[in-house]
Amino acid sequence: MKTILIVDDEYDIVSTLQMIFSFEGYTVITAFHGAEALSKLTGPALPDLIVSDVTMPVLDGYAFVKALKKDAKVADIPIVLMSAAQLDNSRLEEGSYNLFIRKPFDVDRLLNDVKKILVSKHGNI
Amino acid sequence: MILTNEFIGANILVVDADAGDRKKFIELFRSDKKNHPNIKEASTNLEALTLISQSAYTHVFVGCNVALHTPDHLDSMKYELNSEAILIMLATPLNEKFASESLVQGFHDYMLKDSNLTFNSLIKTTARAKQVLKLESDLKTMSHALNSRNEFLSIAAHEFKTPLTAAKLKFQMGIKVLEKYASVEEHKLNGAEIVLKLFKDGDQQINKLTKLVDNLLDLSRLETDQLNLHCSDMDLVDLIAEVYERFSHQLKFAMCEAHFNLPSTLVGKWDKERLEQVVANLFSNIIRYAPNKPFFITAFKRNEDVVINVEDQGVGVPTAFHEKIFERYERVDSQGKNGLGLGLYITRAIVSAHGGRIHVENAETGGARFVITLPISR
Repeated sequence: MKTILIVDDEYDIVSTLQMIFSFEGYTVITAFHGAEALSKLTGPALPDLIVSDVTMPVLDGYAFVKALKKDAKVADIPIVLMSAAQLDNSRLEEGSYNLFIRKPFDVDRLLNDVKKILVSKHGNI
Repeated sequence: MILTNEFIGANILVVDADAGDRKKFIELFRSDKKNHPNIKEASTNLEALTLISQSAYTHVFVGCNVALHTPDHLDSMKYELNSEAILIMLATPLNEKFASESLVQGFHDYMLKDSNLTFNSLIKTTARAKQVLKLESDLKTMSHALNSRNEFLSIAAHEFKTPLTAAKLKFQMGIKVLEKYASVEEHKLNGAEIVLKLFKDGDQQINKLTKLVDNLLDLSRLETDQLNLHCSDMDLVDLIAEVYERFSHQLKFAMCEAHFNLPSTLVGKWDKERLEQVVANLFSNIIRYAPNKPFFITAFKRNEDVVINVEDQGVGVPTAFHEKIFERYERVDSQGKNGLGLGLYITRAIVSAHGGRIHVENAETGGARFVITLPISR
């Protein structure tokens, strides 16, 4: 089963997304900001997809994506960004993320999109 | 018509390439035999810049012969000048069009170097320029207020969306669970438990939203002075205990250990609901700014007042922010900190409406100590 890394500084969002993805059969790991998420990407087992908030303390979503793309080991992991605000694309390199969703979002849409991204990368999941 | 001499005690700089024009213009100030302002002169913008860096000028008169030739230096000069300095262009009648356009470039007014240039016209123009300066300053203040309001609206929108997203996710998850389990008899109980928890959590998110809306309503009430109190006899010690009980779960989660030093009762005539808000705001601040540390609440009677101290061992409040944090939309460090920045503004308004005072001071431990003084009876 595929593993999803969820990154958001809001405990309520992280815990609910964790519950939803677990319910759908995914393995879930969580982090409360970009720096904590990077620290969880140092081991041999890497997530298959990252769902990350944009506005976060310590290391925000923009800097987190930039750091991911610099590291060949994790640069290929698909990224779904989510935010209550508009995304500032001038702060992101083209093609550096796979999907952006505005909060509050429809969870079925998120699950379908995540599934599509994973299928296109790995075939059947 | 009697005109007030604007230039008593003034520090004046005259910048003009023409030495004769400079001399004639400076002579005008000598019309007032008793009061002679301090006047310096320069023939180029560069010379003027040097003089401006050495002294604070109240009035600067710049000939268009200088302004026309070195506009970049003119910008530097405006930048270096004190924000209360009046900047007037001196133009020849031939250059009047340029002079009138100069008002857009930051000059407050212009005067023509012709036969109508007298001490009285100089005073009149300067008075008019002063009004322009005042309007500019008002405009800056309003623009700052507008920016603060826009920034606040953006923060508020973000704050509203967080509990909305969480609540929406929880209710959608509840629907998913119901869809999956409701039809299978042996899973019904398990499904019901999950849904119950989700709906309870969703309800909490709606409470958070309600609190945000209440804060916004309080803000609009405060701005129209409509914070009406409903005071009755109440015990402050009971109230602190009640609010603590409500926050105990969050305080435990944030690992904030409470230490109380309270008498058995502290009875006074206050608005219970509003004081609950005050204590709740202080608890919220502890969770936000002083997690993983103990905190101390003491309250005691002093003459006709009750004094409440709430001290934490968190990041503290820099002295420069001791007043500022009680203003609307202000937070010491907004990075990664949630909230509308209204809590302490509303807290102070409630305490003041009771005839009391609140201030913050540096605790010996490096954290913040909020001190509230409330009159017992009003």
